[in-house]
Amino acid sequence: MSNEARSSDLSLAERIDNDAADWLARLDSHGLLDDQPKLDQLADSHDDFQSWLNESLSHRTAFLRLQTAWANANRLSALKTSNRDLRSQSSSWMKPVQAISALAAAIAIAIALFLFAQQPAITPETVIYAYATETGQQRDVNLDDGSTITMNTQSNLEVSFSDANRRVSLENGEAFFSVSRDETRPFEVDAGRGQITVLGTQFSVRRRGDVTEVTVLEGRVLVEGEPTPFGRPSSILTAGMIAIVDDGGVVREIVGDSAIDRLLSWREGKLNFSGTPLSDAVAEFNRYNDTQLVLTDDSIGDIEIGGTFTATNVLAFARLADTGLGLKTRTNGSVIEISPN
Amino acid sequence: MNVDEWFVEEVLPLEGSLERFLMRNWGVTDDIPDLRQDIYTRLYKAALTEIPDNTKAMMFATARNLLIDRRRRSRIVSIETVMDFEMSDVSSNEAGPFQTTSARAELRILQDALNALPDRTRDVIYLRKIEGNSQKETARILGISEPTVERHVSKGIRKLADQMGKFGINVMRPKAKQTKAACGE
Repeated sequence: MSNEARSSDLSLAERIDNDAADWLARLDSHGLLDDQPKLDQLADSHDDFQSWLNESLSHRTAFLRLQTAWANANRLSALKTSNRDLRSQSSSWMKPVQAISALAAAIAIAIALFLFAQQPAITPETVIYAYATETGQQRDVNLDDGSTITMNTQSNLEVSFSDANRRVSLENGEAFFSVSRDETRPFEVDAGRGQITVLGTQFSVRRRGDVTEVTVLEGRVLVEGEPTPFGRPSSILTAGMIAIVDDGGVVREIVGDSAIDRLLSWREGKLNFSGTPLSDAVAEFNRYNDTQLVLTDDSIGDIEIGGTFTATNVLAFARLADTGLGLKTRTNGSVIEISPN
Repeated sequence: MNVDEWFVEEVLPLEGSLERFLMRNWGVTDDIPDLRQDIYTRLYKAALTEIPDNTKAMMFATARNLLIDRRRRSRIVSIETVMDFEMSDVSSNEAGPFQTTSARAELRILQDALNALPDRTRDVIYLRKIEGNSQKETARILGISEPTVERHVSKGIRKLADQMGKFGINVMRPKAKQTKAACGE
């Protein structure tokens, strides 16, 4: 396809990738990739491309890979604003863009490119603030609109507000949101599989691996899962409800106020259990403490426990396992082992 | 979901994990593009029959089998080495450091990838992708021919894809309320 001499030392994968890239560049030059077309559509529009595509499945996978990366690179257009500013700085000694000569344009581009290459940081159109908590730490974040976020242990999130919306991305962990009402700007939380949209309300979001849990204290919350060929699963929650979002979609459960309070007791630095298996309780404690609890025998994991504990007081919990449940505890460095008696 | 969609949404985001796995268990960097392509093709072919329930597991099983095949075929390998490999951790629970990458981090990865391009290629990608110029305009601005622009696009996309691949090539997910800014999610 290309006129370049190909070194016979190139591996097969290199040659296929080169050809796929050449095809992509060719199709892109005609604007055929602009609206993310399906591969079969593209192939229909160009016979030679279709022949190449059909020669081997590896041609197909190689092309799909590059096409996706190319589409992904569209994000780079977010960097445009800052460079527009650079252009206007240089235009004080240049003619306006329309009248610009090729050479002057080249100089303007060179400056923009040079500065772009020197840029140490990204300046997207919206400023993003990142917050993080360590093990056992909680912190409050006060937002410009009056909303507050209470972050739980081991959590990471990013906040970006613009004129059109208020967005938070929960990367890891758990946070409680108290959102002030603003009809002109929906408040959205992107938490992995689950996306939450509210106008004004109080709820918490927790990411546990691939699962996202939403707990509503007050108001109405729209929770959406990931798009599927059948549409996008979603559910509206009101106070006293929780939603679990996993790869199966969105499941909503009415749990009642006392269960909600239990799930949110971490905001007071407490963990509240009721009929909770020991293994689950131990897993919870381990989120908040560097000293980790370990059950040496699976059988004791099923023991049900209840009560309210200070999240960071792992020693107290271990003592309870000892005196209250009659189990044996042994401290081994930064680990407390709990064993059957 | 058709196979193309599955490939893009489920396989490509795992490229980073796959590369790390291949580096750890094969070690020869130059072989990775071939290995990867072979694995992708095998996965795609299998998916034509039936799309797997657990893409990640299947990917690593395929990768593992491929490496075992290749080791056996290369014949220089002693029995011990094969045993070591089979015992090593080939868990499909690969959690790379970038498993949850934020929009901002992805943009930075892209920016770094762009900056790593050779000058002229970067100019072209910048003018086409960031400024949104047509191939014709780009050629005019830089004073080069259109086929040359195309060549740079071709080169650029290869390098960008390879860079992105280290972290998994993720589909840009359209969101219900996305604003005009194409700036990540």
